[in-house]
Amino acid sequence: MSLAPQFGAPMGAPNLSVLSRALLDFDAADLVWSPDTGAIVDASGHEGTFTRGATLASVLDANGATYTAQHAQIAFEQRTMNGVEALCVRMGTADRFVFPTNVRPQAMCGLVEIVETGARTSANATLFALRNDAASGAGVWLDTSGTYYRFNYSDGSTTRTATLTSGQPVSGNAVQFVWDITDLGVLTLRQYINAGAPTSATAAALALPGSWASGAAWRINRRGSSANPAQGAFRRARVLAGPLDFDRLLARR
Amino acid sequence: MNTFSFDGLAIEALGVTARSASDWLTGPTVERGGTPLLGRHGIVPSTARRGAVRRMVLGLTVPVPSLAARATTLRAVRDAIIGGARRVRSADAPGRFIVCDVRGWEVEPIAQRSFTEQTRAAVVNVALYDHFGVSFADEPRVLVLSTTPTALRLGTAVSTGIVYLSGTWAEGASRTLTYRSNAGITYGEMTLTAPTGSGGLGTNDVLEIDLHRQYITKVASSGARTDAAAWRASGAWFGFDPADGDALADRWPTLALSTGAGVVIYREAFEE
Repeated sequence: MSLAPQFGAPMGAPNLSVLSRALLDFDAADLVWSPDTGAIVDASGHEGTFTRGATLASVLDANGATYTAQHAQIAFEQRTMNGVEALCVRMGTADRFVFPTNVRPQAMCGLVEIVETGARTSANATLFALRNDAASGAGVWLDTSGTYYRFNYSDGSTTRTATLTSGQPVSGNAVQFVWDITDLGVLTLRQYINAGAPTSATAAALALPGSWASGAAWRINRRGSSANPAQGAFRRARVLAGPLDFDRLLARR
Repeated sequence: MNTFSFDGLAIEALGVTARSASDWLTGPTVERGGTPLLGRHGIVPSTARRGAVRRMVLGLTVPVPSLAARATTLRAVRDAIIGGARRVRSADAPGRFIVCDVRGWEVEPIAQRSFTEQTRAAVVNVALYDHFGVSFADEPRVLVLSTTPTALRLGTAVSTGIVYLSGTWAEGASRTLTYRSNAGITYGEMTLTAPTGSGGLGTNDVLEIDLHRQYITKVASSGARTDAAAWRASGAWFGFDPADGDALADRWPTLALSTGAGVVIYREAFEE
């Protein structure tokens, strides 16, 4: 698999490596299969793996027709998000992406952009995480209480949770989650439904740990190797170093 | 002056404005071969295109609060803009980007301008090198394939894509991908036959045909990938050419699959 702009006009141009400076830049439109390693490479250069181990039916194409994605086939799905045609990766509860990382705890902000397909009402379903296989130790993760989405941060012993108290996306909604964690360990989550006014939640400060849990990896649609699968049509998951920067987070690469 | 962005970051967010953009709208120099047909009108255009690296120069005005802050301010802008393979967007082409190697960084010397003005705004010229010679749509498209030809909406440049074929496929059996013009004339046909000993394709396996990198890969249900170049029994590699449709009439070339299930994913490309 080679995703654009590696595919496009067939020219003799050098195959330029398009790398993002983000700590994580998972973009459905920019996943590349690396022929030398067989890994899935995201836009920030992380080499990860995709697994499902089952078929995923009723994946939408640009004309509204559907197809069934096979066991190891990424389910590219065309959705309309806030009036714009958007390529997403449709993920069911068996789907997951894992991108190993050695990122250190620091002030950072992130964006998760999905079309809701029903994850919110499944308590603990986790859309995005930086956690180890056991889903333990220091890390961050975006999950749901079963009623509202929430963002969590653990220093390894204490967990802070910012739970929204309004705004319940329903299937078909375009949802943007913007989160940030400051140098002092203050956590804030904002949720935009169909580009409307945000709702937000904040958690009390908790000092950043010296390191994330051993084996912590960026995970899409899962908290650990098997814990708390979610679902959704994922368009992007980005993490930037430093304080919250809406311009950089929301801009298209 | 148009607004520009680098990797999605608008220059306005840096406090910078564009003052000039030379060769921005000139378009790339593209060479495309063709073969005359004896006894017939016209030529058969080559799918492959060759283009020189396109160089553009973007002039920027960078406000500088004081002469002492000049170097620091310029360094921040430089860090945000300069780099290899940056995605550059312009307001005059919404929904598209070009991929540029942004290497040049030339700050006009103070002596060329009045000291007073220079302390307020530095003038910087940035060189953009576009190796692809085309712009790309922000969003790729995914389409289901079947025996009924599926229309491929294209830009103004040739695109390729990735085709995924699935469904039980016995050794020795064949499937054909057929690319046709809007007029229904076959311009590309690739027949794939599962070789003896390949195991064919199991119920949940996928055959991945990368029309750009020209790879064919069998992806087993376990995720294991094996080279499947030998599956291509006949037919040349092809691309999707807007010249095979009628863009103004919203009529496009098509892709069809003789049997089994299939999906194509591609990204529209534009020659401007």
